[in-house]
Formats: sequence, C-alpha cells, structure tokens
Amino acid sequence: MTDKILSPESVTDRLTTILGAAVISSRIQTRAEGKEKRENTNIWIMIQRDVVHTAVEELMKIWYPHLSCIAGYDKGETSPYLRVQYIFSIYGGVSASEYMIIFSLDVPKSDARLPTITDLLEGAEFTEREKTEYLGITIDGLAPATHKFFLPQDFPDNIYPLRKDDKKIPGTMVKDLWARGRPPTQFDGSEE
Amino acid sequence: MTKKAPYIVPIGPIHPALKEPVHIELTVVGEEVISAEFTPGQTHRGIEWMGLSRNPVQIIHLTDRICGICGVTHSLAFARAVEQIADIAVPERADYIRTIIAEFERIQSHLLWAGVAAHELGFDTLFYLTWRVREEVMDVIECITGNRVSYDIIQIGGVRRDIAEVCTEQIRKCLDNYKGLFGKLKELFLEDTVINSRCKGIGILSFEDAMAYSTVGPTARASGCIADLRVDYPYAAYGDLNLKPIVPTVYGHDVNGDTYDRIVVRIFEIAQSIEIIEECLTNLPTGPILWEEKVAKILAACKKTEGEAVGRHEAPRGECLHYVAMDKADAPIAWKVKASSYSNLHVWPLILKGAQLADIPIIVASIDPCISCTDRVAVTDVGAGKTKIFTKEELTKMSYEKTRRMQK
Repeated sequence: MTDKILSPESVTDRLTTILGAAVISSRIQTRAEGKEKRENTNIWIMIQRDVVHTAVEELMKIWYPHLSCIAGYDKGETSPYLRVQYIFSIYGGVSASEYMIIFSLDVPKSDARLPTITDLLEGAEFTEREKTEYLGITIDGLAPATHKFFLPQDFPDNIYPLRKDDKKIPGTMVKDLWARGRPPTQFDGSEE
Repeated sequence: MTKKAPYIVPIGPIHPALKEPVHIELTVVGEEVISAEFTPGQTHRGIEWMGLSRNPVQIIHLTDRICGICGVTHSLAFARAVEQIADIAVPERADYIRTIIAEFERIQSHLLWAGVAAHELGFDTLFYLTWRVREEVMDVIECITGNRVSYDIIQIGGVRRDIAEVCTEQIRKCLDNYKGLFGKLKELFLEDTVINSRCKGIGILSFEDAMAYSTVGPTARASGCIADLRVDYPYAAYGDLNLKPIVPTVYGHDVNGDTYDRIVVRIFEIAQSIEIIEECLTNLPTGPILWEEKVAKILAACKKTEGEAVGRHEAPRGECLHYVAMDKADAPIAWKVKASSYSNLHVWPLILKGAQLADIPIIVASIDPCISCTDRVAVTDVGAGKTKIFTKEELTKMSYEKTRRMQK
C-alpha cells in the first residue's frame, strides 16, 4: 500500500499491466455536477473470471479498498453467461479524490462458481452470499450458509430471483396469488 | 431438564429496536452475549425484480417506495446512474435542490433515530420531545415536495418541483429554530449521566473491523473512518461546498467506536446539514430544474442508450449505491440496489458480542438499521438446547429496568 494518491490513469495502468492478458477492456468514466463541475471518477475493468482474486489482491496493494457490494445479473434467457461486478472504491477519506474501481466478469451458467475474497476482506461474506441466493453462484471457500440472508427461509431451492432462464421465478409464484393461497411451509417455528 | 449455560435466545422476527422484521439469534451465558447471528430477508419484496419490467421513469417512483425514511436517497442514486448512461446533464438549479432536500432528509432521519434511541433507553419524554421537534422539518419537506414521506421529487434529469418563494421563508424559519435548539439537543443527548453510562463503551466497533466490513455513514465515522461521499466523491452541489466529515473528535474526545460516539456523530451532522442548506439557499442558481420536461422525451433518450453506470449518494445512514445497465430497451437489463444498511447490518454479530441482554435494543438501534432498505435477531441461551423467544416488548422492558436501576 502506498500513501501517494495515484491518478486514475496510473491506477488503471498499474492494474491492467499486472493482470496482463486477463484484462479484456478498461475505461475511465468521469462525471461533473454542480456549479464548479468538480469531477468524480469511475474506473471500469473487464477481466477473466480466473483472476478476480488476484485483481482484488493487487487493488489492496494500492489502497485499502471499500467494497460497496458485488452486483450481478443474468445476461439473458439464451445467454450462457452471468455478469458479475465487484464494486470497490479507493481513496475514501481523502477529499475529492475517491475513485470507484469496478471489476466486471462473465461467469458461465454451466459452471457458476467464484472464489471467495473473504480471506482478503472479511466483510465480503454478506454480499457473496447474496450472489448465491439471487443468482445461484457457488462461492468456493465459503462454508455453506446455515440459513438464508436475503430471501424468506421457505423460499424454494433451485429458483433464483434474478435469473432469466429456466431457474427464474415461475409465473405461478407471482400471478393469481389470491386464488392459490399461501404456499406450504417447512418453517414451523421450533418454540420450546 | 437441567439448564446449563450457554443458552440460545431468539429475538424476532420482530426487531428488538425498530418496528421492522429481522431475526437475531444470540448465544448467552446468563446476561452476557457470547455470539450473535442475524437473519434479515423476512419481508423480501422483490423490488429489483419488479424494476426489470419497468422503464426508468416508472422505476424512479418505485425507488421512492424502497424505504419510508429515505424518500430521496434511492431515487437520487438511481437517477444519477441513468443520467450517466444516457449522458443527461442535470441543470445546476436541480443539483442544488437535490442537495437541499437530501440534507433535510438527513435532519429528519437523524432526529427520528435520536427519538428511537431515547425510547430504547427508556427516556420516553425525550423521545416525544425529539419527535415533536422533528415535525417542523417534516412540514418544510411537505412544503417543498408536497409529501411528508415518499417525496417523489427526483426525476431523471433533474427535479419535479422547484422551491417556491413561500418555501424559502419557511425553510429559513425552520433552520433558525433548529440552530436555537441545537445546544439543548446536545445537552440532553450528550451530557445526560445515564445516557453516558449506558452508551459509553457499549457496542464497540473497532476501526479495523469497520474497514474490513466496509461499513458506511455515521457507523463508520464513529469508528474513525473519515469516509463521507459528500466530501470524497463530489456530486450534485456537494462539490461546490467546503465540507469536512464529522468524526467523534468534533465533541472534543477520542474515537472509541461505541454507541455514544454514534450519537455524537449524528447530533453534529444535524448542525452540519443546517449549514449546508443555508449555503445552498444563498447560492441557489437560477434556471431550469429539468433537463427535459416531457416524460416521453426522457423515455426516448433512455430507450436509445446502452451501457452501465453506478449512482451513489451519501444517505443519512451512509453510502447508497445503485448499479444500472441499459441495453436499448424500455426496461434496464440489470438494477442492483445497495442500501446503506446493507453495509452496516453485518457488524451486529461483532458489536453484540460481550454485550448485556438489556443493552441489545440500544446497540442494535445504534447503527440505525433500515430493514426495509435491505430487507429477525434470536437470543439463544446455549446449553440444555432451550430456546426462549423474547418479544420486543420484553427486551425493551429489560432495557427500561436497567435505566431505572441506574437512576437510583
């Protein structure tokens, strides 16, 4: 970790050089608002799935990052991929210097796995578990969850709310609920 | 059946501090919490899923309904993301109005929280007093936006209502009143002997944990992380202001990262918000408040665009982030809402460890959790495998009794 504040270009250069051929594309996006139009910067780097752990490790050598969350979506019903974004920011706490660094990567639906980054950033567990519940991505290195964090405990297995393919929410779960009534629940509340 | 410590005590699905559903499971030996586990997600509403079949202008109104307290937070973050994708320039006056309404929201949210905290400690007089004071800011918000909650003021490319002359007068009167009340607020919350002894050294979140768990907002700043988006990442009118993040040292004492420090940060942020609003009102630029008044044209611009962006806003509870991806269609192909409490809830197991059962309500409340934004706490007395479910009322009663004991 260095104390010097690097420019967005140097941060991008440094990360793309280290990750080498695993970088698919990168771009710097700026936005200026208000009267003085002071800029804020977002750095987007598209990488191969295999290097995500290394990418986070390298980012941590620049500055201790803030992990906003890991976002993700299904690229489409017919697409074989899920897209995942690791949304970080660095230089938080330094006036008008914070950059967002977003690592995007494709995860094949046939092998929906990602390595855990909790060995680097302990707090990533919550958002990693969300990816398992919403998109069905298995996180390697994370102990199986004892319960669900984001969805109701009686939510059916093998259905993921943000998927658009055959694992998506079926129409029967959202349509004509007045006629169907409540689904049967395994949750009996083990009180004494 | 013999009872052996530790026991498991489940609290919930009614929250021990707030009227929102979350399940927390605590392992206790006697009165002391050994470990805690939490289960949010009791009221999953599938808002992101709903958004994927709606257009951005419809989603704006949906974002207003994610949370009852953050009436502008989510809509502002979402609008900023869409504006970046469609390359929409927001008029300067709209940036200032967005900042003013966001700061009014911070004042009402912090006052609401302060009232809840007083209630959790058993100071119901202070609770009523704080909420009485809060009414004035609610009136101002109603005057500006037409609504007390779900403001519906943000639109893609600006704001839907201008600040009328009559509002300016009411705003100035409200701010002057609050400035006069600030000393009293500080005295009541920060100098009271019982609040001091019940909150100091309780629910400590270390600087290291606050960083490793990527906490945000007053929870992070109370532990010494000086991050504040309004300062670090200029957006809306915040880039034109000279702001400094509020950390507990502002009250002239060291950073401890305890419940008391979180009260200090929030109380002083109210004063900071008053200053921000005054400055924005004085420098309020003239001009249009919308990039485009016709909704059909906004929608047409959104439909033509493709790309991805993140919109961020420093909400009363900390960083709120919306990730949006568009692909030349009416509805976005991806929308991820990262509420502020999403980054703060997961420190509960850390700060509840070692706490006394009667302190749980105030510790849980101290991070100002917003379950509707993210989406139950169980106390387990380990041993004998016996589980007793505490209701919110029972726990609050324990908290009240502790305060009464201390007052004697």
